[in-house]
Amino acid sequence: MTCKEFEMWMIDYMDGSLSREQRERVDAHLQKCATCRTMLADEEAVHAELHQLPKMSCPDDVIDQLLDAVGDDTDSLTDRIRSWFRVEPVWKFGLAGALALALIVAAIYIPYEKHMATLQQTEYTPEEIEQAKSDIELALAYFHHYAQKTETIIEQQVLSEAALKPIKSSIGKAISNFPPI
Amino acid sequence: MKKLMFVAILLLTTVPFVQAQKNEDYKKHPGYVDFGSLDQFKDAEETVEVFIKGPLLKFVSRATSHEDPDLARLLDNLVVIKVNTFSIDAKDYKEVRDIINNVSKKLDPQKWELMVRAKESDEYTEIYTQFGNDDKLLGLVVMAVEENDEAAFINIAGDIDPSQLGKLSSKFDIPELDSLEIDAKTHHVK
Repeated sequence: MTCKEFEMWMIDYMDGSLSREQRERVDAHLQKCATCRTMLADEEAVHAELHQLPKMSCPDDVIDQLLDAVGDDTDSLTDRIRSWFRVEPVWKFGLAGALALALIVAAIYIPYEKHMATLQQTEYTPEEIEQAKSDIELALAYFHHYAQKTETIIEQQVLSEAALKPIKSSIGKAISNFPPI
Repeated sequence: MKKLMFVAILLLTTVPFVQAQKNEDYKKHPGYVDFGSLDQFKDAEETVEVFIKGPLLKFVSRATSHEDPDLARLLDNLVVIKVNTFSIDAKDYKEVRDIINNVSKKLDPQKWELMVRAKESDEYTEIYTQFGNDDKLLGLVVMAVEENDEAAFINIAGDIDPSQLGKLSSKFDIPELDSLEIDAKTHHVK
C-alpha cells in the first residue's frame, strides 16, 4: 500500500467500515510508515475534539436562506426534494378529478337512462293509440260543437238585431215626431 | 377541488331538472293555457277529460298517416289537445263563470285575442285565439257554460291550420253531442 492509498482509506479506517483484508493492509502500512501514523493520530485527535462539541440542530429555514444567499437554483432543488415527499396534492387532485368525472358521468348517465326508460314507456300499444285517436276525435267534436253553438248564438243575436233595427228606428222616428209637452 | 365539486354538483342537480323540464315543454308553448284546478267538478255526473300531449299526438299522427293523412298532418303540428267537460247544477253556474273570468283575466294581457264572447240568458261562451308573429294560429281556447247543463274548457295548442281544424272537427261532429252517453270509466263515447 502506498501513502496515497492510505490517505484515501484513512477515514473509512477510522470509521471501521473497511473489510478485514483492507484493514490488515492499512495496519501493515502503518507499521512501516511513520508519516502516515502521525497523519492518522492528528486526524483522530481532531475527530475526538469535534465529538466533544455540543450537538446543534439546524433550523429548516436556515438551509433555504443559505441556498438563497448563495444564489443557486436551489429553490427548485428543495422544492423537488420536498415534492418527493409531498405527493399528497397530486393524489388529492387525481382523486378530486376522478370523483368529479364520476359525478359528471352519473349526472349525465342516470337521467339519460331515465329518459331512455321514459322513451321505452312511450312505446304505446296499438290499443292506447287507438284510444288516443278516439279521444282526439271526441275533443275535435267538442270543439266543433261549441264553435258551432257560439256561431248560432251570434247569428241569432245579429238576426234579432237586424229584425229589431227597423222597429227601433220607427219608434225613434215616432218619438222624435211626437209634439213636446 | 372546490371548483370541481361545484361543477359536479351543479351538473348533478341541473341535468335531471333540465330533463324534467323537457317533459313539461308543452307548458311553455304560447298556445297552452292552464285552466287551473277543476277538481271540484271531478265527481260531476258526467265528465269528459281528454289531455293528449306531444309524444302521443305524434304516435297517433304516425298511426293515422295512411288512413287519414289530413288528421295526421294536423296532429303532427299540435302540442296539446285538452278538453274538460262536466255536467253542472244551477249552483255550479256562478262558480264556473268565476273560473272563466279568472282565465280571461290571465289571457287578456298575454296577447290572446278574444274572438267571441257570446251571452244568452243561461249560456255563456268565450273563444280566444293566440296568433304568432307570422300570423300563425298557435292556440285556441273555448270556455263555455250552460246553466243546469254543462261546462266545457277546451285548449288546442301547436301550429294550427284553422281550415284543416275546421274541416276535421266538422268531420268528427257528433250531432247528438248534447245527449251523448259517456262511459263513466273510460270517459269515452259509448
